[in-house]
Amino acid sequence: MENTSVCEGGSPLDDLRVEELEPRLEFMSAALECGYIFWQEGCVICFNDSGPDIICGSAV
Amino acid sequence: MCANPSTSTALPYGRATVDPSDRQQSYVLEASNGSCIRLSSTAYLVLVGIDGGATAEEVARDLTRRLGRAVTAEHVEAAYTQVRKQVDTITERVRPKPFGLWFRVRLLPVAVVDRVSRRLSPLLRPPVAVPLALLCAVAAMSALADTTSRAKLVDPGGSFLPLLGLLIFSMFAHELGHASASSRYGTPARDIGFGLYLVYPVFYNDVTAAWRLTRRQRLVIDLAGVFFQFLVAGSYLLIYHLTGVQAFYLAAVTIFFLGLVVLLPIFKFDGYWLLSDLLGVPNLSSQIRRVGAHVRDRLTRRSDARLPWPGWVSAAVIAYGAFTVVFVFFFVLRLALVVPDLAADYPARVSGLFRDLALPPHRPAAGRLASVLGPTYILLGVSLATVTMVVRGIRAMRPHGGDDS
Repeated sequence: MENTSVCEGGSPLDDLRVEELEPRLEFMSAALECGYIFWQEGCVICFNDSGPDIICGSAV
Repeated sequence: MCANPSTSTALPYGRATVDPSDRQQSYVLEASNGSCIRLSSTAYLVLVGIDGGATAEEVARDLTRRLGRAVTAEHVEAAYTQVRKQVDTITERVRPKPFGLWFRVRLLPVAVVDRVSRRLSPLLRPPVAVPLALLCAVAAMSALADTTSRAKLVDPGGSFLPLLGLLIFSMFAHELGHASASSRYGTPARDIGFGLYLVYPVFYNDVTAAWRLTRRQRLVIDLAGVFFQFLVAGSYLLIYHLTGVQAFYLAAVTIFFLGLVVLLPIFKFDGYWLLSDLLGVPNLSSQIRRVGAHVRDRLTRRSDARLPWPGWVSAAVIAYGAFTVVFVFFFVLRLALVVPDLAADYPARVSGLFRDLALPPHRPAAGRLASVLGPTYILLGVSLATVTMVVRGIRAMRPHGGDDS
């Protein structure tokens, strides 16, 4: 959210920025993209070229 | 949480301090509701002057001297009304929750995080951190490139729970990395918790206090999570080589891989904050709309106004905006394709789990937990996202609505 305004009538106070900074939450997940396949298919990782099926679970 | 007590100025609604990271001189105001607000130098002087008890004439004289142009009391009064209104709007409402964090629960209280992170922060001293980082990089490259070892790993269904435990520990270490870096620079610790972000089950650490640090310090905080996680992965790799227990090897490889993925500037994982701090552009995600409007105006020749950043930063923000739009499109498309199948299979997956538990040996079959937990999180995330979007849409359509905090 940023509000940049110029006072009417050509005010010399032409930089009155008020900007809310977003909350900084640092996230970490074990289920990012390839981890998503991990969850879905019971596999640990999905290195496509080097073998996505090397460490898959069996029961789905 | 974002103001430095040693240099800050008290205001009726919070404390303000110099923002050491902005290219132009500006100030960061910590509002009493926990929000952080960046003020331009002029906005800050007007606010502090009037709220500090000075008259409009006195502030006008001060600004005339500082700016080198005539400022009248009327200018100051108009500016104060405008700035104060904007600040009040932000400070008088509930602090906005991060978008997409549908729910969260605290796991480690502030006192524990503070104590542990202060003890771990020496790991971030350059003479210690640089050699360790190099070691981790070598270990990560060798582990990720070692297809021979991975090829020997087949069906670790039985390793699921140990693996999950090792991954969860590494994620705690990741969050402690952020907290330790934050502690190193004297910003207060916040809790570590667990939540559901978009469709991802996540651990989180609130480092909003980092807004008052320099960009370089914030970059260290951004990278410290992956650094700590890689330290854990390196330890796992060592344990695997000493004991031969495969779960440690699987965990190490997974952590190295996830550590690289999390550095992509997608959504609001570490790469997002890293890019934001590298570019010196706060609120990066909300700049996409601004960049889009700018590109549209330039193409239609409606305006030739420039973006407020150096050329290379503007180019990077435009590239980031384009990348994000494409990424989110494919992300949503993929979810749209996958979710109906997941929802259709879900009852069978859950009943399979119950069947396993009801019949001897009364434990889940290999891979069963993974096949239920993953879809549970995804369906939960999609459901919560849908409900939240609908609620926000309804609020936005109401008269005086639109506060989507």
